[in-house]
Amino acid sequence: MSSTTFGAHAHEADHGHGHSASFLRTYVFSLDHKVIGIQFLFSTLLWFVVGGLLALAVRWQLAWPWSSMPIVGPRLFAGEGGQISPEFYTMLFTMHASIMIFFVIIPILAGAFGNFLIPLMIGADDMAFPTLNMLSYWFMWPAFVCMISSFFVTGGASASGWTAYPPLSAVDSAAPGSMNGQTLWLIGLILVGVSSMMGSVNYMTTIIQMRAPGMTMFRLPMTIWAMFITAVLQAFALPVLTAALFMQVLDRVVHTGFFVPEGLIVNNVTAGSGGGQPLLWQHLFWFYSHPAVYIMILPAMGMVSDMISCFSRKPLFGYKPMVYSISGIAGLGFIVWGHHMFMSGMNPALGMTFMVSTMFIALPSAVKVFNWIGTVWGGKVQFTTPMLFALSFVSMFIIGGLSGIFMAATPVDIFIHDTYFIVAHIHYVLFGGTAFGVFGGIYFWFPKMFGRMMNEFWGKVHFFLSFIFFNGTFYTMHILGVGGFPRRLADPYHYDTFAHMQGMNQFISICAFGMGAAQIIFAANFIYSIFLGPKCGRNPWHANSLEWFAPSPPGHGNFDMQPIVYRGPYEYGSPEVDTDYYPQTQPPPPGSEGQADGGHH
Amino acid sequence: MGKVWSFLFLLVPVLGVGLFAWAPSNGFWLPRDISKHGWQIDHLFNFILVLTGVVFAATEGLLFWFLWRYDAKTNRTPVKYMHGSHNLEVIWTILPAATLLFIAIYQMNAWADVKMRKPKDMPPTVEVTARQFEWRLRYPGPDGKLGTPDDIHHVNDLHIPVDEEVLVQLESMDVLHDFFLPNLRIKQDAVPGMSIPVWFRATDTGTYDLVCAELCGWGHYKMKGRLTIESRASFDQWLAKMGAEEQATQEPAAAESEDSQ
Amino acid sequence: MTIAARSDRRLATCALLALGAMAIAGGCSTQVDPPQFRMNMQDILQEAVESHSPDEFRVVGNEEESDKEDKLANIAKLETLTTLTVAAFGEPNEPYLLPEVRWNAEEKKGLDFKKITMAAGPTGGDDAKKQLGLFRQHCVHCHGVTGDGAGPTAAFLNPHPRDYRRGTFKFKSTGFNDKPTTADLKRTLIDGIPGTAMPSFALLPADQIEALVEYVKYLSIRGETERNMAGALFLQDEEIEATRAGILEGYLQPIVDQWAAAEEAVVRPTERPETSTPEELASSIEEGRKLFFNKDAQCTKCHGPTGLGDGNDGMAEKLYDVWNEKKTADDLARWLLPKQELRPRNLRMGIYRGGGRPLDIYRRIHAGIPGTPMPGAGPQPGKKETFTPEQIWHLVDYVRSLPYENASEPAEGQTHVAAAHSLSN
Repeated sequence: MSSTTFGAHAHEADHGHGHSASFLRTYVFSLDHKVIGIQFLFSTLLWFVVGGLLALAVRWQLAWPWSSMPIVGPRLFAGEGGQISPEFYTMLFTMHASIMIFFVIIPILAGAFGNFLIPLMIGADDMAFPTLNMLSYWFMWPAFVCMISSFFVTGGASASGWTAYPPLSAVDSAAPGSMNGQTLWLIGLILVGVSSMMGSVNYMTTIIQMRAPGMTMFRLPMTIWAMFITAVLQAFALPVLTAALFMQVLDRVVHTGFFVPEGLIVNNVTAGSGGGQPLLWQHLFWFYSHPAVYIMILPAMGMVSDMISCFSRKPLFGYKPMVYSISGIAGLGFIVWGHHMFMSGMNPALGMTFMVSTMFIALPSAVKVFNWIGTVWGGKVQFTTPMLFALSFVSMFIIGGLSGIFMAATPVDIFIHDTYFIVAHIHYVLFGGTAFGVFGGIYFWFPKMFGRMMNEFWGKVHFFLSFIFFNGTFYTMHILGVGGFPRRLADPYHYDTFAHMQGMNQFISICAFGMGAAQIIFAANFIYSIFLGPKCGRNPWHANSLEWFAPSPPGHGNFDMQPIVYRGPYEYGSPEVDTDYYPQTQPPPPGSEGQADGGHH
Repeated sequence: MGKVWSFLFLLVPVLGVGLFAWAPSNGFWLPRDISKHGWQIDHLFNFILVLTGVVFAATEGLLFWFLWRYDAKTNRTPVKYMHGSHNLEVIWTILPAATLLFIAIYQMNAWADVKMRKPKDMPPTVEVTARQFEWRLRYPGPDGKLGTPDDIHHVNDLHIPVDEEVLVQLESMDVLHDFFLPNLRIKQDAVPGMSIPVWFRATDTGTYDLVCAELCGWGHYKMKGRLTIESRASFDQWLAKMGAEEQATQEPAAAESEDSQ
Repeated sequence: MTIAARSDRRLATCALLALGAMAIAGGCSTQVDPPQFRMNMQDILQEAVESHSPDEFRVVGNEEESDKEDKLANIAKLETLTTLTVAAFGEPNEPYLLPEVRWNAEEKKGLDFKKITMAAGPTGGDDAKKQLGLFRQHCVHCHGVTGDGAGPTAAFLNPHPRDYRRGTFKFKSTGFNDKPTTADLKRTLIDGIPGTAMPSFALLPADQIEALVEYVKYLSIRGETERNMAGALFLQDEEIEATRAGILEGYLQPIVDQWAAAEEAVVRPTERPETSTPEELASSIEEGRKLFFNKDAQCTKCHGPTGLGDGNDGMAEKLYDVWNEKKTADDLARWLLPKQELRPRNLRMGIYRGGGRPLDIYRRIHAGIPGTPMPGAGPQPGKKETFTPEQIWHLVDYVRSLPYENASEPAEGQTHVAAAHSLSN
């Protein structure tokens, strides 16, 4: 097959759309899942930069509190000699977390990779609901505009943390950022929720209804299983968050008082009618946001499984246990939300119950780790950039998973709750885990997205620097946490207990700046390779799953031939064929028995 | 190159364990425990640390070894074409499950001591009301009851007697706060509309930090309190002095001399 | 050379260039101009320029010739004002004090310049690990570099942080028209002001608190001097002699003397009438209650008959303090902070901003609260007393009993003796 260009007008006619599409229809309001996926990818990477810069600003303040902050200080706080104000600091970390979680991690997994990969990997020509798909992308921009514009309204951006605990968030007078900024934050999140919900419905329908002939559920790649389970989680958890967000909007705008207790006076202003309970918000919020942490990692786990199997040239170890553990995580994920609230004043007996369920959610994660290591065992490991990122995902996820056990143990949580131990944990899961998985995924599927390879050498430099600086930044935070160092303090060093920790914080900040700088290499490699990277064929990694059967990049409608699936996606090193890979679409040689389903033999 | 990358992954457990070994002797560790219940928390922390440390070193070590051993460049043995092992799956499901169940049961007593077994028939030693951004303290006056005109009010400077059960009634006037005593291994959110009991017994005297550990607004970082633990005698003396100061009708003599620089 | 190798090199160049650009951008932007004291334009405009418009200090070019002259004159006055205040007080990073107003141990007056330098400047420590820049570490985000109560956080606080530049302080031990004593400011720092955003700094070391107090005095004196000079220049249309003596004798010295005099003007109440038995206390409270409803005192006018601070609720005329009363909505842009209504204190909350000791409440009633409509009821120079010291003590007892009294009881016509009985048990 001749290689086709991105957008692939050549295929338009074959699909009977008849009219030639305008530029706007092809690249902006496109209905094509690949274009939408790539739009999601570009946008989320852009937002990643915004979120990252906010994090660096936070790190600056923690390393050198009250010194003039570069770039921001002279522009916003010239009158104070560049020294930022404490409420600006609270806005920085609130917006860092909000943007990273709701605008980077969730949409880059579900939006970018979900969109791009689901139809390709199941052998469909597009999503079930293309218009819904387009809308789900275009709901993200108003959401982001809401978020970022909140920096410019009276009072500034939301300043109550990404968890937005009331009454701080629900009462205007409680914090500067709890004025208009908080309302914009809530509206932004509602829009993100609408976008996620549209995506979720679409993914579930597509995966259930549109699989290619022969693609049974247990022949789906792990990426698709993870996307499917994630979509189910979204569909069940999101309505609760959306309701909670609307309740907080109502509390703020018409003073309904869902979350505001009776007779509260904050900053000498009576806070509405009252009669509510601040803990109610925490229950509702974590009922979504705990499943959401799995929404933020399961797709990356799926992608990593695919990469590890491919570059070990060996079938995935324990395919079905992997599927069951993902499902187990999803199920248990709904009954552990209370472990965020051990110190909240919730009934301590309830805390004990949540502790037990939390302990057991560690189990499926452990099973997955063992299976990944089992996959590497006895293979032929190719140290490509995507493989390095996938391996680092496993390595970092072990740390993130094990540190979770400390928090799950309620008595230990008494000490480490709201300390940097938690910050280290969440970043090991979300950065060392998901973000590294995403980097791997970008290096892995880039040839499919753009028909060109990313540069391997600079990819490895990027990996090396990110890996070193990442661990320098976040591993040390465990030590701070063990010392009791609390989160979200603009200047922790006036406490005697924490005064000696400034040096370590400076080390962490320098590592963080190094990690930020390392991403410039990635950005340069990424942009350069889109235009000038070496061209590649359909299957540069010699992988099995269906997307590699399509042209690179795939044209409109994805496949130039109807894929027919004969086996599971992880048949590497199969004795049935001479090559070390055995694509799902390759018909079995005449006379061979049985088709590998990827299950136990 | 494969070997080099394998070593990078070996660095993770080596430096990871190394840092945790280095930290305690260099001043980065759990602050000194001066509470009666704290040893249970520290013990549990150390127990989990050792347990997870072993698992951490083993899994990361295994990952390194497999990467090193099965590097495609040097590995001449053919790929093990297998899809998993039922026996292994059962083993590595049941073993962690049993361990986790053990940890879950093992910790219950410590949790119950700190959060569930409230001392009976005991009036609060002090009422702590958090407010943006200070700790307002109210001790019962000579009548031993809170909410009477002889109550003694104070800010940020919490005094408690040593070697005695102390009951703190924790409240908040505005937003969420968190009453964190690192040395006493005590942490509890203060929630407006709720009155939450916190109890502990200090085993040593001295002054320590009282930290606000739940984001409470722009001034969260400056919501600092000081905990002074002292003998019953000097506590009573301090309380009496505070009570007298609060009823002052004339400028105390000490302040007079300070006045004239 | 392979394509890959060539692209490697090009990429390396790109990455290096990008890194370099970042470094340069980062390096350049850390250069910050040292902060300046903000000129008290609010007062100048309000009092001196009829149109209340900052345009009076800006020559656009299309004015009539006479207008232009006026403007030029205004600009010249402004420049004089800036030059003189900088000459007398320096800048935030480099404070200065004329030797005549530095601490004089013999006369017991003046400002301790060493303490001021400890509190001034950017946050940080010196080589000996001594903490410097205390004001900017602890105070500036509310009170502002200038001490005008308009730091970045100020707009959201209720009440707004104190603007020191009037030299008016609410909670002090001295008479209505006196400055506060050093001990008063220290007390405010240590106890904080309950019911406001002013936190307690009790945990700072004593030398740091003293440095901060001295710096607050410095900012207050600087602000008041500037204000008085502005009044002279713009309102009285006087020339200010631009010499050391001119500033010193005309403006600075009198203010410094007032601060010194405050130390001698502390209100010392007479002995409180005996209230050791419940009966005595109850009758004192009852006595105070009568005085509270006394027509001359007009306590209820603002604090309301039940003491809930709702006396002027629903009145057309709202209450404002001197920091807010001149603000109007139509030139809001000129004010750094929005206008805030003054709420009379709710006496049943048990929150006393100026301190809850009987002594503190005595002084509040005796001297009133400067800057607010709360008048002094005790004997004061040039003013007839409303209450005798003994009566004030009864009022103190009554006010202190209010938080423990059931608010739903009818205020008048019922004896509170029974209630007092149960309280003092």
